[in-house]
Amino acid sequence: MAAHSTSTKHIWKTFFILLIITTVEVGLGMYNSANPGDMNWTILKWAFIIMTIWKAYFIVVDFMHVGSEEKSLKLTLALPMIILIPYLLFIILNEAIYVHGTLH
Amino acid sequence: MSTETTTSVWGGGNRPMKASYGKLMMWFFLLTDALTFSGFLVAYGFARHKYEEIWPLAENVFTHFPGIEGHQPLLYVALMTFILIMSSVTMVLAVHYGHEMNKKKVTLWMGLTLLGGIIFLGSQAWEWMHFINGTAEGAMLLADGSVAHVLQAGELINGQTYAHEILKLGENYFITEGAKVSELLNGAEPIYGANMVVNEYGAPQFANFFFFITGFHGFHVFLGVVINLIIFVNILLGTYEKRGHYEMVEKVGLYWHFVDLVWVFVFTFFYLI
Repeated sequence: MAAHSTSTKHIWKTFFILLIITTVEVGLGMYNSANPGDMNWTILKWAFIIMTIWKAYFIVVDFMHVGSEEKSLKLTLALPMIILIPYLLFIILNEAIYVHGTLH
Repeated sequence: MSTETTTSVWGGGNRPMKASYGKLMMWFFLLTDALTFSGFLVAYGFARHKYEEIWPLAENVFTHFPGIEGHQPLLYVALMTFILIMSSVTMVLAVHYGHEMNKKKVTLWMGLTLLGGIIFLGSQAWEWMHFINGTAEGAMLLADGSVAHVLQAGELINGQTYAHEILKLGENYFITEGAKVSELLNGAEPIYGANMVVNEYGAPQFANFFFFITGFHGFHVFLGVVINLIIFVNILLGTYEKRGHYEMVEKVGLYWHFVDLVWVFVFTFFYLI
């Protein structure tokens, strides 16, 4: 059980990190909605994606305690995601850009 | 059945990767579920690229907030996200006190987790209701299957006043010529809100994906609430005190955090981007 001795202080710290990231995301989203074109959409979009993955990291590592699991388990969980999802994204979105305007 | 003294790996005598059987099985499930949701969200991306011109922006669709008038993009979904993150924290606290065998505190935090889940489900029902009912003005479903927004004459849009009257979604210009407008509206039907067939905000695929992905996520939340309730009753009955550990709370905790994790991605790809 020693491996899981997360302190409540640490839990609340993670909560505030998640809360701050979400607030920043919502703030940027609201600003962009009110003033379309003010911010570079490509940069903003990537900022949203990076913040999302950052939040996911905190949830998985701290809340799901993967941070204190064995390295073998960490890799078992992370590798299928890291390999398969970008692969799927690449194939499907690439095709979507091609299909756009060709079929109805 | 293998006994405690079994040391063979294949006999299940040790804990693979130092995780218990139950937790590993939960991880197996979550891994497959994560790939399922990835498939859905990537498919959403495909449809969005395909129908880029008529794809509605979520910030123009979900603009209601209970008790506040007017256009409130993102506010309501931010609240829903906050509720889910909060219930994730209460769950991790329940797991924490489970390790300390503190029945009173596990009961408290597990109860709050349950409450958070129920509030989230209610919020989602409210959001669905608004999306299904749509706006008071609605839109016109034209005879060719495309959606058009009919606007009042003299309305100011992007710094320009239009004499009239109709914006066919996917086109960048307003159709103002009287004869053209009546030709377009010939055989058109008014539509309000969204369902699996029509969507007043734009591409019906947007509504299909919205109902399917948030519905599938909502179904996960619902199952989570049911499972949490069963565990909560068992905590109250003292089942885990007798068993000597609260690992069951930890296992449902993994599931509950996963539901929160999926929402983080749904929030970004549906509402922000």
